[in-house]
Amino acid sequence: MNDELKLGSIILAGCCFMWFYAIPNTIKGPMAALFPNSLIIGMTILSVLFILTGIKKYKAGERQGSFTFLNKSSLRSLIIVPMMLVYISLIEIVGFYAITCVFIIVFMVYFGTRKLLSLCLFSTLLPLLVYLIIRKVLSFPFPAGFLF
Amino acid sequence: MLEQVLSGLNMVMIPQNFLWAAVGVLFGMILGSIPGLTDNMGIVLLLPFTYYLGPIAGIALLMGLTKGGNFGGSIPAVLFNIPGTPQAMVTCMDGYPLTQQGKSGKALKQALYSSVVADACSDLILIFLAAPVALIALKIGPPEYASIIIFSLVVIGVAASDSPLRGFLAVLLGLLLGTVGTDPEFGTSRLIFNVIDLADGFHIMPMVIGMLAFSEVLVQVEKQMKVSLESKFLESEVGQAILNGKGEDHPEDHRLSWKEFKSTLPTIFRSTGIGAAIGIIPGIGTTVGSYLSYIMAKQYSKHPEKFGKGALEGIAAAEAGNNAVNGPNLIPLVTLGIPGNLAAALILGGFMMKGLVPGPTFMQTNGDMLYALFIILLLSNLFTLLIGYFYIKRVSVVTAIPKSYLFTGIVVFSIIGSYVSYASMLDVYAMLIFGVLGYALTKFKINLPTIIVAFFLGPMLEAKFRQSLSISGDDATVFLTKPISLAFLILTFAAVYFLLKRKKKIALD
Repeated sequence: MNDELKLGSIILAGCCFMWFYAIPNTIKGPMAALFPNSLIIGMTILSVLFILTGIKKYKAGERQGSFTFLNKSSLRSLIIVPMMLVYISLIEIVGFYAITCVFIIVFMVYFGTRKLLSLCLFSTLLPLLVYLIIRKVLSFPFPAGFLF
Repeated sequence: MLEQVLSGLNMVMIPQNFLWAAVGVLFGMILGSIPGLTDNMGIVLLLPFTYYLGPIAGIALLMGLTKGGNFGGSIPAVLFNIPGTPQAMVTCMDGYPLTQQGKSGKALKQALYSSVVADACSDLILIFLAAPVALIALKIGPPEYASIIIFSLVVIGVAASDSPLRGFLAVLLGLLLGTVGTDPEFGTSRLIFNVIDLADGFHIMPMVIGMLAFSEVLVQVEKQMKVSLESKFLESEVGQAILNGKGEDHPEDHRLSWKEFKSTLPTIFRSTGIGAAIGIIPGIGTTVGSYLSYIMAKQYSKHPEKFGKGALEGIAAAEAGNNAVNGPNLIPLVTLGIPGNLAAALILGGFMMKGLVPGPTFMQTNGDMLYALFIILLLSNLFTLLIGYFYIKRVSVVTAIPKSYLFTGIVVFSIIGSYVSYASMLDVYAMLIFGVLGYALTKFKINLPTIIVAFFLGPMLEAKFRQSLSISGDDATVFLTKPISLAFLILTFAAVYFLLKRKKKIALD
């Protein structure tokens, strides 16, 4: 499936969800729904145009999309998302500064740094800099957790 | 007016404001000069912190970032043929050939001086045009306002994307995201799916940081996985430049004499005029300003054959053309509250965080603040000149910073930035979701800045649209019966036609 067909189908599905479920169930009154409904109509028209363009390109021989989320490089990039989820969920439990030190090392190693000295220095200096600017200069507290 | 100017001057003349403007310029320049990172990312990451600074200091930081970033983008364009920002693309054409000839210093100085002169002139245009435009803006009603917003959104959508369909989709997506929250008229909740924290709509910072900063990390990491480490490539380029003695052996090749600079002044002023005229129209952007100025400079040049081979006039035209867009681009923002591009939208976000809402009455109610902003704009140019002069001598150190440090820093600052605005962990999770959404949309070649601008303009468009219907007794023809409104709707179609035609021509070229 080429990009236009994929995009058109996704938007059309999204528009159906918004029109038949989200808008009737979460918006009260026709005036409050007027603007979102108008936008959904506009997006539905666009999705049809995307699908038509996609069909035209498909017939012309462009059958494959320019990308897939399942290739090696995309997946290696998207692994950052679960890593971030773990990092964020641990902030309130462990404490922002402590967990940030740990995850700086994790991210740097993942991004390709192997020098131990660089890892130690950056993972210490960056949180220290953040602490000095955010906590001391701007007086903003981060979640402390059971550590720091 | 003089009283407001003096009051504005008084507000600016505090050392702290100078410091933040200089920090902004330096930070913008650093980010602009690293390929893949832009000044907009700098604004995104620093915007939450401006909340904790005074209004003028916060605005000084933002203005400094945009000015520094604009010039910073030309540095990798000249040194490595990689535009640091999209608008620096045209600078590559003559900047890189000069570097190949061992004259990178000369090219960078030409770029710096042209940028600063054009930017200062464009700021003066903004200062002189803002008051008359604000007076006209005071006289326009909701239907005219709605039509102007539609004009801006359509032009931004078409100009910023490769395909108009994708541009319109970005606009509609941004507008739809803007409808989440509470109905402006009835106060009832909309599309919040029982998440009470969404009652005020999506917070600006997590959305902007997620879409523009975190998603960029995902995109860049993917690229890195594909083409080994980009930083290694840059390091090798820098290494080669040093080995070849481009930075050291022939100091005279790196000097830009007054005679050389003087010969480019007509080009700079012509390009400033072109860039400024383009800048007034929302959404057309710096890249068009730069490209058109370059074409005109080549047409009027005594030596058009030198273009593309290292012509100083080429660099002057490209840099002056893109920097001259900046000042007039703020005219719709300060007079109508309509941001003309992403940087202006982010600056609007900064204003809103300070409780300031730019619009037709802004000059009357916050005139001193506005003149303070104008003074900061001019001051930032001075800082760009001073900091830029020293920065270009040490730039190779910055461009060789390994990407692993940058990505890690951006990830950490994305979390900090999305948390500090409202002290809510939900915002941090929202940033993550918007990051993934931004990454997916980038894959489909949907322009993310367009979504952000539409998100900012959505609530205003809806309010004006409903006000128009309300005052006309639900008569939708009100948009066609008001002359200014009709004129802008016709202009919308004309602009779309012109832009599509131009894109076709560029594609053919």
